[in-house]
Amino acid sequence: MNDPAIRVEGISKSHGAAVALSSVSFAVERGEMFGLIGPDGAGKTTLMRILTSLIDADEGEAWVLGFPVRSGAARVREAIGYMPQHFSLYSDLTVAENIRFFADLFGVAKEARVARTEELLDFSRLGPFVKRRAGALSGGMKQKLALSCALVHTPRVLVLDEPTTGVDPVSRRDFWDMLERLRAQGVTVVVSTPYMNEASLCRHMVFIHKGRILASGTVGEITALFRGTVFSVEGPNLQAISTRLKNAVEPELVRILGDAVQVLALGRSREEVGALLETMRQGGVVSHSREIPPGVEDTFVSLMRE
Amino acid sequence: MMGSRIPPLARKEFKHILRDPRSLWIIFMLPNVMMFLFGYAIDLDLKDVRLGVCDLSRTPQSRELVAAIDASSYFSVVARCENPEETERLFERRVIRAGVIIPRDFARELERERRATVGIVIDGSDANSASIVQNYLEAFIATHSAGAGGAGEGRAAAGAQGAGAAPLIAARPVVFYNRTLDSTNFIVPGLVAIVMMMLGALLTSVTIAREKETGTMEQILVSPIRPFEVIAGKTLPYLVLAFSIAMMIVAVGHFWFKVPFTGSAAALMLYCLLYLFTALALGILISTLVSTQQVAMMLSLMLTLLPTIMLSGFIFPIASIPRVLQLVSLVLPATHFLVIIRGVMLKGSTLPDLWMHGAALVGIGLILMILAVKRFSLKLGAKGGRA
Repeated sequence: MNDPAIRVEGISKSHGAAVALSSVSFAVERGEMFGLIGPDGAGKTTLMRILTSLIDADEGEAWVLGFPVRSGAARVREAIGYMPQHFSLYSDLTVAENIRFFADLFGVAKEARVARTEELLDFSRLGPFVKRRAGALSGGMKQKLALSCALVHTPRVLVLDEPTTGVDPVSRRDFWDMLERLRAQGVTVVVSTPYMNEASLCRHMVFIHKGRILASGTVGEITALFRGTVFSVEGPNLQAISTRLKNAVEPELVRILGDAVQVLALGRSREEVGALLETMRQGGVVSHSREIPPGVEDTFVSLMRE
Repeated sequence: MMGSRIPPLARKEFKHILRDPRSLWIIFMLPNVMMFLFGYAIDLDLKDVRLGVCDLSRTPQSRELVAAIDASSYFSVVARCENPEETERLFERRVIRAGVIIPRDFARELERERRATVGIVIDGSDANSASIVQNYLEAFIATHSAGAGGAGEGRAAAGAQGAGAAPLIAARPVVFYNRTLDSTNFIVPGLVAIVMMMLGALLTSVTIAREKETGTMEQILVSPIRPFEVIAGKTLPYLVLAFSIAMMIVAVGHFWFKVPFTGSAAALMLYCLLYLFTALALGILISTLVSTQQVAMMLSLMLTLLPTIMLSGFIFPIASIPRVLQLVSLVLPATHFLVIIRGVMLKGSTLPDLWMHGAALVGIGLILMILAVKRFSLKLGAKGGRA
């Protein structure tokens, strides 16, 4: 019983000549929110498919609740709830029928199914729409239904592949609230996302880039890896500041965030960027600039460039 | 709890079928359209073939032959020419499809040698019907001359078993079962076989491919379902659907095309189920190999229509196709089902009469199913190969 929810050891996987994952290892504690963070094509989906036993790794092994995914696929599949990246429901079936189908598929007994469906409809606030066909739901509601279907057999581990990609910000926040409630109920939640700002919602995370883990740990542990300085710059015309800075440093290091421009000075470029900002301040373009502590995203940007 | 995933999958599949009335409409109409289209288009019988006659003999005997030809339902004499060259012009203008040239010495030869030669000219541009016209004309003239000769001599004998006319009697084929040699009776049961094979394979091949395409397959696969359950759950609803369509087109064949139904309906239904089983199994196998509905559709049409039409004995007798292809025809379910359905409908064959073909269907179906179950992977991305 002391097994971690998920343990991954030295997983490698290639699709032909393209390496999707190369010796990836990490562990997910039971009952935590765990993030797989990385840009598109980092290997997140491949990793999740290996965890859900949908594909086999070339090398290495992974365990879900102590069951090896390769040889214990049946046990793993019973224990895990999975929401694929391009989840799709049967659009010609109603909300209730979709839930019912997945309940039957996972062999949920009738009484348990009825109670669980009630619970899930309440949880996802899809109650008023039970008789609506899935195809007629809004994007956010479809996603909640997909989550409900993945949860119908009360899995102890929930794996979600980019659940919030392409979802509007309000629904996205709603969805994270739901995940947090599940986690509070003791479900281990593994979620992948390309949105760096969602990373901080996870207790532990790994940052994957080109099939390798570049960093892992808590938010604090990850940001401690940041080598450089983050400047927050304010001024009357943020667009103009951003353009000036992008001409001076690499464009990826500059972004507008809220009512300030953030620029990363990596390595030893702190003095150069500081001098540039001072010049801009004297020219009246910049009204104010200060150093701020790095965020997870800043750290990832810097790690990707190393 | 074990094995109980088949009913929910089947139930879901039924809902998909019923909630798409447009597709359902097409699924039911398409076989009918095919039945009517081919039922009428593939008419191997000749009726009222336009003939030109060039009677150079101008004798009572020759006039009698022409009148007899004209009186038959196969031919109608539309032109009479003075010389053979004239028939050529009529060919070019497509006025006639065949010409009969009766030589000058026709009557004399018939008197003297009790046999005569008649020239037949046939438009060979349509080779298929040309050979049919040729056979009909030859047979007709042969029987007529036999009859005429026989009449001349046999009148006095007045005996039905007059053996004296022997040298004039041409080979006369005795036709069983399809006494009018009506090709409809031959074609329509064959059509039923082809439509069922095509539709059966099409229906199931698309169903798994659709789930792969939309991505729902990924969600089904992460459940503890077993390959056998996926395949059984996917096949059952379509077996019901395809069976009802099969019954419908058999009814169309019997009631509309007036194909006799002499055998037992129960026997035909049982064999229909076996046959559909092979068709659906083929469809399932196809859908485990491809990942899009388009490809599944193309592949199932290609794999069913052409071999079934060409090699199953639908039109071309199996005996007349090359030896190697005969072996291929042996493993085509339609080959066996054609024998069965023609047997039951036309000959009144009973269930035990056809057991060998039934067994062949069971064998083919089982092999296809086992292949499909083996091929159906609970892993994703069949293309990536098995690691």
